[in-house]
Amino acid sequence: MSIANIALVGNPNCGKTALFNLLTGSRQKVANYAGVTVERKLGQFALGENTINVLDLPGAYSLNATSPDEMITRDICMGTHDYGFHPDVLVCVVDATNLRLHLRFVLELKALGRPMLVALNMMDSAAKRGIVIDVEKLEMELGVQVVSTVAVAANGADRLKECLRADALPAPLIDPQALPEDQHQQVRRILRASVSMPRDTSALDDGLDRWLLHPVFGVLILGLVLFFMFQAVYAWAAPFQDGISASVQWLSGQAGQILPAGILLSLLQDGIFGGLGTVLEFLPQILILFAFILALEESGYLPRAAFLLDRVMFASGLTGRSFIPLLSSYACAIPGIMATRSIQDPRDRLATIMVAPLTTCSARLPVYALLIGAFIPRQDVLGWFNLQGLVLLGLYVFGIVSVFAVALVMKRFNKTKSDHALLLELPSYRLPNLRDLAIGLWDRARIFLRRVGGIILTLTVLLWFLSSFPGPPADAVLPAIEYSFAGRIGHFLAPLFAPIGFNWQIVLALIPGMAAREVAVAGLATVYAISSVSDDTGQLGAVLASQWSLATALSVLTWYVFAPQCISTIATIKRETNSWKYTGIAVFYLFGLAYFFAFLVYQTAVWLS
Amino acid sequence: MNLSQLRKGQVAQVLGIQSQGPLDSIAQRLLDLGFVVGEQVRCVTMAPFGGDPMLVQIGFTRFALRKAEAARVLIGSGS
Amino acid sequence: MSPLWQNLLIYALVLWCVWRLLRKYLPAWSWQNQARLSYFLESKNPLWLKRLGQRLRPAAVIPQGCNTHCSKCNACS
Repeated sequence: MSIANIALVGNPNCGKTALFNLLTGSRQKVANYAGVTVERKLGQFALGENTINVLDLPGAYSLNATSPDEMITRDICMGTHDYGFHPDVLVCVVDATNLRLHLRFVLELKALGRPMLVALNMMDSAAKRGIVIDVEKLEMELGVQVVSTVAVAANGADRLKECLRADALPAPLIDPQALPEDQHQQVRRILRASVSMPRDTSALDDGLDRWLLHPVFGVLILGLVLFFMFQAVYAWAAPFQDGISASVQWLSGQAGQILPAGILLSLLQDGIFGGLGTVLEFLPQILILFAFILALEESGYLPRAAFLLDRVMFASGLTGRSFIPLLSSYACAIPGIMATRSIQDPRDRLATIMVAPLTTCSARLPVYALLIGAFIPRQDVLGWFNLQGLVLLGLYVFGIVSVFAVALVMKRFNKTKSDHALLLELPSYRLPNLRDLAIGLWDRARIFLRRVGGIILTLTVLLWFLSSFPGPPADAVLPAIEYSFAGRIGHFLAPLFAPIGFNWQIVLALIPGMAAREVAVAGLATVYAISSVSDDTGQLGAVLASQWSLATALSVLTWYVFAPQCISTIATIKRETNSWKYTGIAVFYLFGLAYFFAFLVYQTAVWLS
Repeated sequence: MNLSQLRKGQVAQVLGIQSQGPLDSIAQRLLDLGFVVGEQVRCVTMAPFGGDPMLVQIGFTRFALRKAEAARVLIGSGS
Repeated sequence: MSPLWQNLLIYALVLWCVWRLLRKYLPAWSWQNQARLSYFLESKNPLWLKRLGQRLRPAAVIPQGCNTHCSKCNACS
């Protein structure tokens, strides 16, 4: 009988995830614990002839769980709940540069009496800081096997893998008196015996924090970082975008040469290449944005931002801890909403969940980028700043302001007092690991491409079908599309949206656009491609620029700042809040704000022009 | 004197944790994180817009604590 | 390719897309009906119908649908 299942457990910021990535590479899967909405990260790696399953448990400071994800860690370590995974060995990952904090948890886990070993991670950082650890002494003092790992090095987990070759690992002897105070005393004793630290803190951390946490400079730097991020998203993506656009157009042209003119060609050119191609163009922007978010996360900067913003967030009824889930929502609100599990206070958690859809998720990017690209001139402002990038930033800022404003309003409705805990660790700064970044980006690209090939393709084909059938009668006067199912549906619903300047094509695209925001882009591309005379399937932006007024474009942009055009997000809210009432409130207020502000913007723009 | 009163750059010793009400999970968490008797704690800096939260260093770790949380930690200047 | 074949192909494609949507948003309903169709075909005499029924048998476990965020689903991340 050999070891088959291991669980990685440890404090937050111990490099557990990097170790997990090192062990499993891309053979990992994110799923759900049955009955609970906490993410489960399961992976595998080969050891000799066996395959070992690795479960990456949520980081926890203690088995006294204070938030839903800590409860999962507790339940699996203690074996009190069956989540379908039974670890043979607990691999307790600790940060070698901060054993004072991490060893206490090891002692707590040791008291469980389960087979375990300690992975002394970040040994490279420890060495750099001049920290000397006598691993054998440490093993002796702890009574548990200790193995050093360097999660950022290619061979950093080799010793760990060697240990896992054993048939089984011994369970530690349990000490019946395990009070917290005693645990801290024990940790001190162990540290005195086996570790020498020249400094309490890293000089780098101290130096960086002096500026990055400075009351004035810190906030300025934060603003600059975010600003730079959004400028980069536009500027760096442009060449890739053009490349993808050109490729799709070329493919479409080739299809025109191979197939005879007819309905099938229309499906390919107008529906698939036109619709999907337009959405695919935005992959570079999404990846660049996500790369920044990941890099910031890995570097340890995000908790600093949370520290700077906590006061503002607290005043709005949120918490500094909301910052990280909200920032994740900039990639996609779904994992962002799920990340609120780390917020202990249920009221803070609910507030964060309710405002998360207002953050400008990456699915909005195609819509924004399309309209900004079509209606905002490519100019430079003050010689430095790109006007399009500025408008994009403006939309993001609008989203952020609405997050705070809505949270503030919700605070008024929810007057109950409770203990709002922050208690946030600011870990050491570290250089983002390129391999982990690459894995994260690859994951993101894969998810995006799956969406394109999945729901977006499906709905685009259906929308194309509805827009092409039935064909126009022989004595047709209007463009063919007006006679189709889609045309009729669109015209039927259009009066509802006339006050906000939406034409029937927009209204039509919004319907399948409920499944995913990008579908609206594909939908518009398809609908306009079918209505157009020329064979040119690209350049939806140019078509829109000639057909819509600026007021309409601004109105659509505003609509998209608020409208929850994403069934999956709504479903996630329902799951995380476990309440139809709050989900209903969220949907209602989001659509309400969308209509209201789109109305304002449209009427104002019309009045001004 | 409690931790929320510590000024930037000042150092003190932890004398104990004072719960605010029964089942105070924050107090328990503070204990787990290392705010135990005899440990040295330093106020690293305060946040902008009012100095709340504050950043403290205990042992080798830095934590951002709200004043309300820090108030649970009793401190004194020890040797 | 004659217009007739083109139209047939398109209808098949559209039906397939509708089926994908049903599977995603109404997983239990579509599983049940797929099972019904499969058993119906299997109970018919011509061998090729039986084989077709067997091929159409749905997976042993009803998938949870798009709310559980399993990584099999396309809609979430």
